[in-house]
Amino acid sequence: MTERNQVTTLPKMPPNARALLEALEQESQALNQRDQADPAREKLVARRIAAAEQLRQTGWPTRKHENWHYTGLTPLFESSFSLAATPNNDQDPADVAGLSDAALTPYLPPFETIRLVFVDGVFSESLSGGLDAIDDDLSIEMADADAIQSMTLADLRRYQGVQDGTRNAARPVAPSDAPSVDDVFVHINEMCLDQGLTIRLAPNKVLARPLQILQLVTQNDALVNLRVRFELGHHAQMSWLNQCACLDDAARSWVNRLQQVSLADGAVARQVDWQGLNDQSFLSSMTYVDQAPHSQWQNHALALGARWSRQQSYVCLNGEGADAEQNTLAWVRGQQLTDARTETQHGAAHCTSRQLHKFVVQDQGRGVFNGMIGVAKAAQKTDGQMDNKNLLLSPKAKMDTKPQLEIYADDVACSHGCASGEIDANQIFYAQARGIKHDEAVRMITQAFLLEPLESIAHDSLRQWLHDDLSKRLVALPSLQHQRDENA
Amino acid sequence: MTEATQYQEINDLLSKNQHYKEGFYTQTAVETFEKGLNETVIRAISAKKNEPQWMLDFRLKAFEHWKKMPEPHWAKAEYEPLDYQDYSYYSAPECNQCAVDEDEPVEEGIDPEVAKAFAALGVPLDGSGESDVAVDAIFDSVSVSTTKREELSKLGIIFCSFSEAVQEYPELVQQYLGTVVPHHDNYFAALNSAVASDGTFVYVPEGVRCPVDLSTYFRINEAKTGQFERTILIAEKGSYVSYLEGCSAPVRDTYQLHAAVVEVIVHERAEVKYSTVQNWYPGDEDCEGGILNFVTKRGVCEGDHAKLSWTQAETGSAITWKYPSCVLKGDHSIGEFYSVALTNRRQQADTGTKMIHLGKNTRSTIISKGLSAGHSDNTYRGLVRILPGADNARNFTQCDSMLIGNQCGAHTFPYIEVENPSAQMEHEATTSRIGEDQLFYCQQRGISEQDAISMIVNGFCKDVFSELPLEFAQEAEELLAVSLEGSVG
Amino acid sequence: MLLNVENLHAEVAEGGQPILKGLNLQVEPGEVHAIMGPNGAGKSTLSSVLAGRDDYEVTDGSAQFDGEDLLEMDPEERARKGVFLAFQYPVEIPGVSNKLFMQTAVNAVREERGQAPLDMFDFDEYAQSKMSTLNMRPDLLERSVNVGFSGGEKKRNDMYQMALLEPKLCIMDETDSGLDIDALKVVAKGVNALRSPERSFLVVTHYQRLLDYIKPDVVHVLYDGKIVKSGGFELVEKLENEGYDQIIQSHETGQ
Repeated sequence: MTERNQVTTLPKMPPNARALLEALEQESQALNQRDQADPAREKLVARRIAAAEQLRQTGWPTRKHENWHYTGLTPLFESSFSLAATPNNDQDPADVAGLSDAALTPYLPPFETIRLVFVDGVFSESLSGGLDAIDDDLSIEMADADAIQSMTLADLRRYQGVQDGTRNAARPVAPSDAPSVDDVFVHINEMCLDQGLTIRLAPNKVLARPLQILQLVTQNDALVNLRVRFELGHHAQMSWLNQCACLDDAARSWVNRLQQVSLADGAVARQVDWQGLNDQSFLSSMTYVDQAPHSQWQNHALALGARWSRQQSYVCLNGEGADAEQNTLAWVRGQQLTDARTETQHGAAHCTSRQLHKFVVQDQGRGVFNGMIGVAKAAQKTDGQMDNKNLLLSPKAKMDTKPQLEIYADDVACSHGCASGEIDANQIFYAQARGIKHDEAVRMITQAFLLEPLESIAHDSLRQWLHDDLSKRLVALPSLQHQRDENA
Repeated sequence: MTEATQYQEINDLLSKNQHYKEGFYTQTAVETFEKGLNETVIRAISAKKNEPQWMLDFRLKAFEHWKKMPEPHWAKAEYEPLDYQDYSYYSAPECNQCAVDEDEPVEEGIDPEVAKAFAALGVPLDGSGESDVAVDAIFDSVSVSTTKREELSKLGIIFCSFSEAVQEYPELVQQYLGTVVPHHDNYFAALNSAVASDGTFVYVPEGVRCPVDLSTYFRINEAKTGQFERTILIAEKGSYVSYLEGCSAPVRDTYQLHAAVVEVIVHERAEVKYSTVQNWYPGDEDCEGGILNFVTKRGVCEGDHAKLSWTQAETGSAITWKYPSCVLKGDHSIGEFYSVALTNRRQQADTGTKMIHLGKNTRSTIISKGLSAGHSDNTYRGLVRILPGADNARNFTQCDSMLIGNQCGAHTFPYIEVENPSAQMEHEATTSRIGEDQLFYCQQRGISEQDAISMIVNGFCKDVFSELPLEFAQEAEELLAVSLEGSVG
Repeated sequence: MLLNVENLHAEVAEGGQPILKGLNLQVEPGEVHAIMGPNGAGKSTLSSVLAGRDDYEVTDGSAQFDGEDLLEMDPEERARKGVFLAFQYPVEIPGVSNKLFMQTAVNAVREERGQAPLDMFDFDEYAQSKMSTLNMRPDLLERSVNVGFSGGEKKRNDMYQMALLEPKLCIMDETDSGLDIDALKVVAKGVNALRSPERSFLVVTHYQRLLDYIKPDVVHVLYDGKIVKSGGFELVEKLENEGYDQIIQSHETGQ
């Protein structure tokens, strides 16, 4: 086992930040202790140790770090977390948590899916369904994490466009060997890695039923550390729905998820990423997408819950003619901080990327959008567009936006647009003049604003179901009349 | 400007040679300090300028602070850390020195070689009635001439060098120095506060509309010297002034440092138009030499209905690091930023603005046009910040980039922070190139490729050039054409 | 002879797909020729190749213009010698006024002809004189080239440019596509106004409707990169009644 004195000393940080970091290290060490005697887990142990070392070197990011300027970690430090407890032997986690099918009801869409349900990160066979639809072309493995590729520093740098060749060849930026503070949640994910989920779809296979991956969180002060990998063979097509929800409104949890998506030539993947954690919980999520020629990636992220969330996606368009669409719908209330980030690296010619990110921020909510489109020298004929539109509904609401372009190819059409403001008074008046009540008008206009990013979901009943679910939630919009009076 | 003269110009421009025509060096007797930076040097600069104690204290305070600060490298421009001991922090033509010592009118004391240099640069120093601009000419560390001072003083307008203002209007300087850009604001502002050489001081009294454009021409001549001018511009209630600055330097094979600070104070209902045509030596094809242009320019709209407008045409410098900003304190105050930044060869420009909205009903407009050619990198970096009290604030931002050739980069890094729901902001950015179809269309009408490019580029920059005073617009267009030569082909 | 195209072969520069496969065409001064054909026959390629667009590569054959080798010239040289292309989609150039654009173009052509350039005042006068013939809105001159113009205005602007440049050969590249009947009449009126014994036209179109207003002297049917039939105006009526199928069929059986 590692000797303490061989390990880098931690950088300076507040005591509670240090306590959290050390607690996580201990969790990692406990896993290593457990796996010490298992030769099959030797590699995994080494990976955990390496990640822990990287984390020690960087420590936590502070607001002085460019990518963390708007996203303070203080609320996370105020909590203590340990890895979610796992059931003994072959016990179904649903039995341990005392869950029945009824718990699923709010999360079941009105159409057939292949449903994989996880309770605190552990697969529950009893709650899952539609598994009979799995055939030879679709493989789903709850593998030892060892079977899942590690995220090396070189991998991360590649996704972040810091590699040779993707930057301006005239003055290449050397790939950095030093761990970066930006990758703090990646290091934590690697350091606490135990199980992973790998989903593979064979070439040319078109999966008719969507896959549904439902993550239910029940334990208090639990870190749920998830690692998921999707691999689609050439011209394979599938769509999936990620859901992340807490069953206990009072239990505080932290979901730290790393997803890798690998799309071969002409593969088509569509993801809906739905997040409705409770107001105490935290979500850090990283999604890395690798796109071969003519592949298509579509992501609709719905950020509806969590005290603090940061969802970062890196999309690498590595093959000619690849296409990526990334949309966000974020509803930020109460004390929430919701941070949505995309980095889209155009590495090959004739690729297109489209983005629409919409935020409605109310109460004391804080919304953050950070988007970067990078265009490498080789990526001629790139067509990249990124839009961010925000509605602020209360005097204490805050929105920070950084839409960025970094371009090294000359024959490209890239643009970004961004607008923040309140609801147009004319629109409200117009509705009122037609007999609609003020609050109803506000709700109607807000809903229409917020739902736009979902319009490109091709699966009709999925889109409709998400619409309906959101409409129900939006009834909870505060009486805006009241807030206006306060304002005046 | 009419379209016909624009056309005439394009032809004129194409016949010009593509070298940096301001790259000559003036041979004259100068007093230049030994290289190096320490407290003794700062005391010597202050003594040379015969400064009062408060000014020396300001310098020393800034120097103490500067020593503790790290050199910033966050901009999208790469440079080796500078050796600050390898620069001289004071250089002045000697003849001019004696003129100041003997308290003679400055105009008579101009070194003939220096006068020749300014004449060659097309800067009128004779102050004759013909010219409708008043000029402050700054040669390395000192102001050598300020024209039309007497005419202006009849209106109560103070237009003089910063050093003179320290002597003659100490209360005014003390009242405003460091209020907009504090001595600890950033690394280069702190350095400037410590070693400030000459700059311009402008004061326009209440209700006065300055009848001529005021202008400063900065010339760096000596090798291995830095220029650290400090400019303060104060517009009292209801006044108006249009101020222009231009700059150039000889061709040198090492980096030269230019770290200026400009502070602008705009009171109630006053309006200031601040225009810059920056043509510092950009370095040669292999990235040798050139000016490092690390500048802090900031203005505050103190009073209600105040208006500050920055317009810049940036074509020179090896590295530009410059964000002219507006702090919109007064209700209904207006901030504007119009910029054309052209980079060619291996130039790196990281420029933009900050619009800080504090007052109610404040408005800001940002129009930025970036052109990248050769092996250059051109970055727009801007902050729009709307604070909670800025009810009904409005911002409109448009950043357009154009790439010419495939070895260059164009980047847009906007920061937008909104903390007031009644505020409305809109940001648009596009990146494009001169389209093949546009070139073919022009060619099909008989227009050569070079003419077509000039035409399209000027069209691209039109929104900004129309904000520049006439002569400056002309100069900017010429510079653009000259700087673009050899970028396509 | 003004234009003599012999055995012209051309392919797409990127990809090498052959489009023109041995095209022959002779145009005398003052003649109006119509090139008709189904989609994909190579109509637009012919216009582009004659005007010098580098999207296409000529692999064989020749094109003589006024006795000179047209294919050797840059696009602007062709324009200066008197080849004018009316675009299917006129291009927008933001910030560049129509006036500056056209003054530059007119003076380029004048230089070629050994005439002195027009200064601002002379050009204004010249521009005004041409404007009345085409019922141009005067403010069109002050606006940026084609920016914010309606489809009809863009075409009208192209006709106006044609009038200003006084070319010898006008190539109308499917100028009628997407035009309503009023705009179509504007184009036809422009062409008819500019017809003269020294000026030839090559009207490339898919439909007969423009040709009803511009009565062409010669009508050619282009199919699969070759001219498969030529005739007088009666050929237009025949095509209108019978479609392209019969001509194509008889061409293919004839091979």
